[in-house]
Amino acid sequence: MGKFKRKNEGESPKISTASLPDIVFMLLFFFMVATVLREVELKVSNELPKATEVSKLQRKSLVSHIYVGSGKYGKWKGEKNCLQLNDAIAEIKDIPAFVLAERAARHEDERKLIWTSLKADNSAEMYFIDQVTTELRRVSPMGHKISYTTKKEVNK
Amino acid sequence: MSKSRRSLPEINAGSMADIAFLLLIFFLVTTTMDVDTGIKRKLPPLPDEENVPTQVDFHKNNILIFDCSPNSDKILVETGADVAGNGKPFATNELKNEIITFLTNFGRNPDLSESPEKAVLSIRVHKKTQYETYIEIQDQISIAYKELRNNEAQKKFNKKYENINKEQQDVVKKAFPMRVSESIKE
Repeated sequence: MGKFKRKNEGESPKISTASLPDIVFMLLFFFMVATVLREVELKVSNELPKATEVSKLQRKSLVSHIYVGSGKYGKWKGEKNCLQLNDAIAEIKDIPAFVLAERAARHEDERKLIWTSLKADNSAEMYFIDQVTTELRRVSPMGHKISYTTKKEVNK
Repeated sequence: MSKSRRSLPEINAGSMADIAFLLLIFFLVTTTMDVDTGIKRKLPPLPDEENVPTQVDFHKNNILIFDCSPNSDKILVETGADVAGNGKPFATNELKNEIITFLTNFGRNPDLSESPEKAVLSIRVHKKTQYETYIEIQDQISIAYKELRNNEAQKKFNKKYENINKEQQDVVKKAFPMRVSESIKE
């Protein structure tokens, strides 16, 4: 009695790909949310030191970056202590203006929450770091929040 | 009426996945997942005419000095009571224990600190000292304080430092305030 005869005998059923776009979209949204486009091009070498006891900087929009390292291009090539603010090599005396501009770019309520992330190269020399921090202190009569950015080292 | 006007022709969604994949690959390539991690510190304001730091009468034994010369990979550790140049050399990863002994002395050894509240750690760098060394010392200080604060929190509240609330953290912080001074030597 052929009532329950199988339709496609011997042929494996086709897998529906209709939900494939949904899956891909899901991944897409994940990456769109998680992504941070790199905002600056590094013009100094930046081999960060390692530390074990580190904490995360939570809100990326409230972090301003200062890079220190040896220059990579042009006339700064090979020069040991270079400072980079935003996209260009800068001088120590440009720091106050940079900090004030960073502050002005944020909403008034959020200005107190700004962290400065100092990304200095392993081989940077302390006299230069000292000049940088001195400038930061100069523009912050209430104290300056700084994070010495490091790579996280797993406990030995 | 023709058949096609009654039922709209279906849009082929087969290429949707391709479009999404394209976008996905773009974001995969451009994404940087690394979160900034670092050692957090608060820099004090520069002293000026109005805001001259008051001279505190420190007992010299309340200061622990880390002297990092660029020429050696050891850190000279001396208390303020020592005569200059009398420090003992330590490898950076041994500093933690030194700091803890110094802070938890409570006046037992007259050469070390009277109490954690009064103690000051002082990093003395030289002009040519590498940033790496400085960070290692800062890291050791962070590790030492974390351990001490954790112990204190365990003793007082029976919980880890990170698991107690803000007020309780303030109590623990007050018992072990982190006071680091920095100076640069010619």
